[in-house]
Amino acid sequence: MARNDSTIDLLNLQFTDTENEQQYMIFMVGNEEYGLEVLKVQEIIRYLVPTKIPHAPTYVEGVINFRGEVIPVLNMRKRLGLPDKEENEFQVIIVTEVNGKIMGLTVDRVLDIANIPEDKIQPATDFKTQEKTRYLKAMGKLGERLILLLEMDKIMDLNDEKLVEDMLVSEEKTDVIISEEQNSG
Amino acid sequence: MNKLKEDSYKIDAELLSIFINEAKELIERLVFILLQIEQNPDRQKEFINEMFRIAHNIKGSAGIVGLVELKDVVHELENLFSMVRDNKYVLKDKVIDLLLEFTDDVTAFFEGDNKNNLTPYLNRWIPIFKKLREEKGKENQDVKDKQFNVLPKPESNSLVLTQQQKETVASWQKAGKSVYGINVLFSTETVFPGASALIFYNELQNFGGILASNPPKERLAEEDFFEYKVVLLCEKSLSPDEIKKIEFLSLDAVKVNIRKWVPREEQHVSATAGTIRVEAEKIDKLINQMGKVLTLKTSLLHLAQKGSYQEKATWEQLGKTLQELDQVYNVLQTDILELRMVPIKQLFSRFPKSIRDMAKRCGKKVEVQFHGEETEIDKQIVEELIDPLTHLFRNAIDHGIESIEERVKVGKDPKGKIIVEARQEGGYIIIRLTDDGQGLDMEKIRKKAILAGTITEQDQLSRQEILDLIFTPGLSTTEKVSDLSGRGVGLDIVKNAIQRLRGSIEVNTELGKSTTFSLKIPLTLAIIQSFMVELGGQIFGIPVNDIAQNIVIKEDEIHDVNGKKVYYRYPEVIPLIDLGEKFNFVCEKNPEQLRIVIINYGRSHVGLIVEELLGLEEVMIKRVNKALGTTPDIAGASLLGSGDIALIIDTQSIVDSVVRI
Repeated sequence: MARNDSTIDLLNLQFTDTENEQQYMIFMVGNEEYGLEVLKVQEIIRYLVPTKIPHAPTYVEGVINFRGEVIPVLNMRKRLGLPDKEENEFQVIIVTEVNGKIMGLTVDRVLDIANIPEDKIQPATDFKTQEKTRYLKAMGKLGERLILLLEMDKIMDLNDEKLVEDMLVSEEKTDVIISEEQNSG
Repeated sequence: MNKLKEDSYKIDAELLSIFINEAKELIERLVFILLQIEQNPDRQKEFINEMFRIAHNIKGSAGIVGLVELKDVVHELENLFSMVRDNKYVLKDKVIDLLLEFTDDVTAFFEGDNKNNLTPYLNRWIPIFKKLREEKGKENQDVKDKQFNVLPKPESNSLVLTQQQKETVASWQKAGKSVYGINVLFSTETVFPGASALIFYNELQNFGGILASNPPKERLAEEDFFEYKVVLLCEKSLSPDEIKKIEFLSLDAVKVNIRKWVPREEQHVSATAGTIRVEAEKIDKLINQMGKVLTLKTSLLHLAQKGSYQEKATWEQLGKTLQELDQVYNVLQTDILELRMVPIKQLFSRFPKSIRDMAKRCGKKVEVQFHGEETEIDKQIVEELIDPLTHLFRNAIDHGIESIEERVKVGKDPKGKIIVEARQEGGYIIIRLTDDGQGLDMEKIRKKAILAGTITEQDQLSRQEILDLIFTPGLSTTEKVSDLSGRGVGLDIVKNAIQRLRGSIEVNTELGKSTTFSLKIPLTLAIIQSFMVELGGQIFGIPVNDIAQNIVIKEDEIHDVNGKKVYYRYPEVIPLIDLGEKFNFVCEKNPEQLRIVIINYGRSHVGLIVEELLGLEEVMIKRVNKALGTTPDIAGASLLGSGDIALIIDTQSIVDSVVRI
């Protein structure tokens, strides 16, 4: 009986937890930490060199065989307009699914999984330069750490060429915002 | 509680879409049968059981998914069919016309978004069917006339848009603006439907621009009609309020139906998306194979646990089991691919109705016969073949078959005939479409091609080569050609569509007697024979059907003509494409030994320079996850035995890109 009660308590606890907080997979690209909702992550796999696709945008590394399905892999460094870096031992591919689109994201390393309380998340629309930061959904505070939350829909939309250019430009701008944030905080 | 409701609603929506897909197929089949009976009334005995079953099925399922009105109407239809079955009633010309009309309404009902709006269209059929039954035994020739004293005349005056109007609609929709099709049904008591329609027309202009109407505005006064159709262009979507206003614009209207305008062709494509119905027998076969896999799995497990790696017997047993597994896999592969196969009558049954309408519009009489209806074909290919075949039918009726007078003059049966045959030949389906019309005039085609610059006066072409000219773009897209040769509008489009399916098309003709189009299409799109090549360390597959041969040449055998690489192979000049360059891949090449895959391109050839020739493999083509979007020059991917990915080259698009420049 007592055991049952505690189980229910635990369930309730998790339930209330998910109301206020979201679990995020935290990964690094360049010098920044980014968060991706855990529910959107299918698997994390060790980096392997994808099969290159002719005429694809440069940030599309190619395709890989993921559980019998052929899925594209995005290089997040290139997607975010950062300079190329040599492969490192921590480099992984995060397989993520958004609206039935399955895609791999190559990131520098995965750090941890963390809860970010809702009141510690500031939507990107609050920033003045919102036109230029349309790929940035929000920013989350995790203690002293600043976690960038991306608009995955837009990151994963490979057909919108204009959007891509915008994002390359906006990346420089956000760097500035972030450093200001950090300075003030 | 709320959650529960949501779930049950979801199931309903899912059930409904399954039902509609099924019912549409059944209705298509019914139309097909009705048209057969129309051509030969004696065949109703042969078909009546099936017709009865169709009505019965639709009635039953309609009840389950909650479409009560549909159920009631089809119930009356079923009663009518049951009388036919008991030899108490004979289906004849006008009744068949009525039934076909009914199927149109049912299809419209299925395709409409708002089923409630459309139910009056169904309901009006209940008294019609009842009356028909009351007329039993009597001659039913005059049924129709008596019928419509009380009912709106279900004579369809369909609104057909001109090409220009279609383009207007397309550009309007592309700009994100709205296009509506409005259908007004006037009561039979309306004294001057023309006047009522004119008032409606004028009032409607407050809501948007009127693109077309039937009857057209200038003929409103003269015509006697009950159904009035308008296409309305609006800057933005109509609000529910505005729709209500339009519905009450005319006092004499019994029913005003407003629908977003969807082009006919698009309706077809969306008709049977996604689901396949599979015979239980095919699934039983799969389960059977699954049993064998299970046995093999168990013996492998046993080997792993009990066997000793040092013992020769273990290895022999392992080899044997793997061999068996390979056999079972092959059977399994065939069986699973067979799931996608459907009888080609699913494709054929789409045409009789539109052929009938096309023939009527041209004022010609046309009879169609279908043979080999049970031939099985990949479901996806069925979808892809609808447009090209429609094109060929239109061609045959428009240009092939002569007018009734002309046919009588040359001593032919006034009724033209189109014969469609399907049969399987190896890994291919052959579809032949023959009309007994005027045939193609070779001399006219040749002259036209010279005029268009496709060939020169000096070119010595064989008979087949001349005939093939009708598929070349320059020749077939100009209006004049169709006037001259009586054929050729858009046949290049047909050819492209067939080539996308990795098939081929040929034409043959006998002047004054007949024209035959033969289509050769692979049975399935899923598995192809592919020749593997290497480029920049990656493996690519080229569909074998596209390949003429492989050659190895030296770099200095390549010539430069206007900046393009060519290879002379007497008497032909073969343009070359360096795939590594085109794909921007780094390739190592030995100038002494350049490997070239020669691709068939119509009558000529194009060579692809690759890094290495590997060999033949049978591969299953997989689509890349939709996240990637379009992939130029790549038709798909396939997984190799090693788990690596080989990209399959879209040969036609690569070759096109070079030849067109």
